[in-house]
Amino acid sequence: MNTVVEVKGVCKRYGNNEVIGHCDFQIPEGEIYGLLGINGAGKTTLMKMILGLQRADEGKISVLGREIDKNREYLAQVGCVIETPVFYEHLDASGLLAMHLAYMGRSADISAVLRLVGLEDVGKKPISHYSLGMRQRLGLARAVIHRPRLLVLDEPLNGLDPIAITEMRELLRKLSAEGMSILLSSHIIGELRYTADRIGILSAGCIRQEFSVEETVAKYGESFEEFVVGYMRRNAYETV
Amino acid sequence: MKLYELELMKIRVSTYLRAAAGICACVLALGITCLFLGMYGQEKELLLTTWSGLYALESALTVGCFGVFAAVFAAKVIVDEYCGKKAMLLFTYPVSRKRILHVKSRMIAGITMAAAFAGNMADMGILYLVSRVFGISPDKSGRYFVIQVLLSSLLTGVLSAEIGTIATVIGWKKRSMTVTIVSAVILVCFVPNLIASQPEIIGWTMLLAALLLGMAAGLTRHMLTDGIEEMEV
Repeated sequence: MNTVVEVKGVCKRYGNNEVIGHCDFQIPEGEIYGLLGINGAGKTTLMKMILGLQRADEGKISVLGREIDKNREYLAQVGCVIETPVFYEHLDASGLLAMHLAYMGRSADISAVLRLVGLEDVGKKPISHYSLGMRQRLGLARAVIHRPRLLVLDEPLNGLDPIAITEMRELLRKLSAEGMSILLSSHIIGELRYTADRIGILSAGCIRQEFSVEETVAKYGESFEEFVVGYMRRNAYETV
Repeated sequence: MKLYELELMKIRVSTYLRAAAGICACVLALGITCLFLGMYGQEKELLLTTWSGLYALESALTVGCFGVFAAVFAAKVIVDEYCGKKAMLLFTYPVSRKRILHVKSRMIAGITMAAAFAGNMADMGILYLVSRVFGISPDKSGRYFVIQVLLSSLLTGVLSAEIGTIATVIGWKKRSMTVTIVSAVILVCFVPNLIASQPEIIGWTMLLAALLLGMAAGLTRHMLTDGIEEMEV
């Protein structure tokens, strides 16, 4: 199986503060990798480095077999939702997605993608009138419309109602089954338990533990969350 | 071309065009007032009683207003986008950061220059018509008047765009839309005064100002391009 993301010995410092320290992990093709950590563990920074939004001070990040540098071509095969998605508020959903496709140099059936995320009835309503949940759905639609090979999602279920969360999980599983690799961050264990194939616990700037969700659930059953929380408690406040 | 269309999609062009039309109307109203004031008022200032004076006044006002117009435009299109959360979106497109910035800069400069040029030409044309209708022509306009107006209108556009560019870089450095607009207002305190101070040699004054500001704008724009290329969000 091909490796889609490879992070090797990556460090990131802000002044004297090391937020990511010698971090290593890999994401194979078609896998949903859950990045779990407390607030401030470095999840967003790590994701931003994979997207080329921040530079690593040390180490190497490869996406789709190529080390990322100033070459931005790999971004055509990457979709992302980082923090709260931002939009051009006066546009409608179709206009926004058409603009995104033009930047990505791709074409797609916009109405099919809007249907996929449950926004088929929005019509020409400007995005400024959308609720938080609708914005999250539109953010996801923008991330997947160009059929990326890697999807980077930073807490994508924030603001969604329980039905939408279930639908979103199903959507992510479907995309993964079609071969899309997904890096998904969260600080909610339940969210990752039902979505991810593998979880990496990010603590004090590096991946402390990785485990398969299926195997761990089989081993610990209903105590899965206790096992993970226990592990996080033991490691969360360690310094790099 | 596609990138220009995409940038235009992100803004409401009609808002800026309406603002440009408003600026032209206000400058024209002031020009007409000055025309009547020069003929019937007590003051016999060179600026009000000769065509060269009137178009120096019109051009200075146009540069001032469109300089601030360019800064407001750039504050929204460049400073707000690169200093806010939209930078993250822009930087995840597989298009070079430099290219997107150049498209934005050219779009702002192009619209500002075109609006200032067309506005100044239209204002001078209407002013001339008004002077003919009311028979209050300040002086003989001379053979080269039209060419002078054409060239000064062109330089009006260039100067406005340059003021906008310099203000944008200052605003981006300070990460503030307000600083962008205030910087433009400060620049506008100097440049139009310089233009209106010597109506007889307005063409040369404007050319010199355009060259000096052009160098400053080129240098600062280079700083902006490098800064955005290296930017982390």
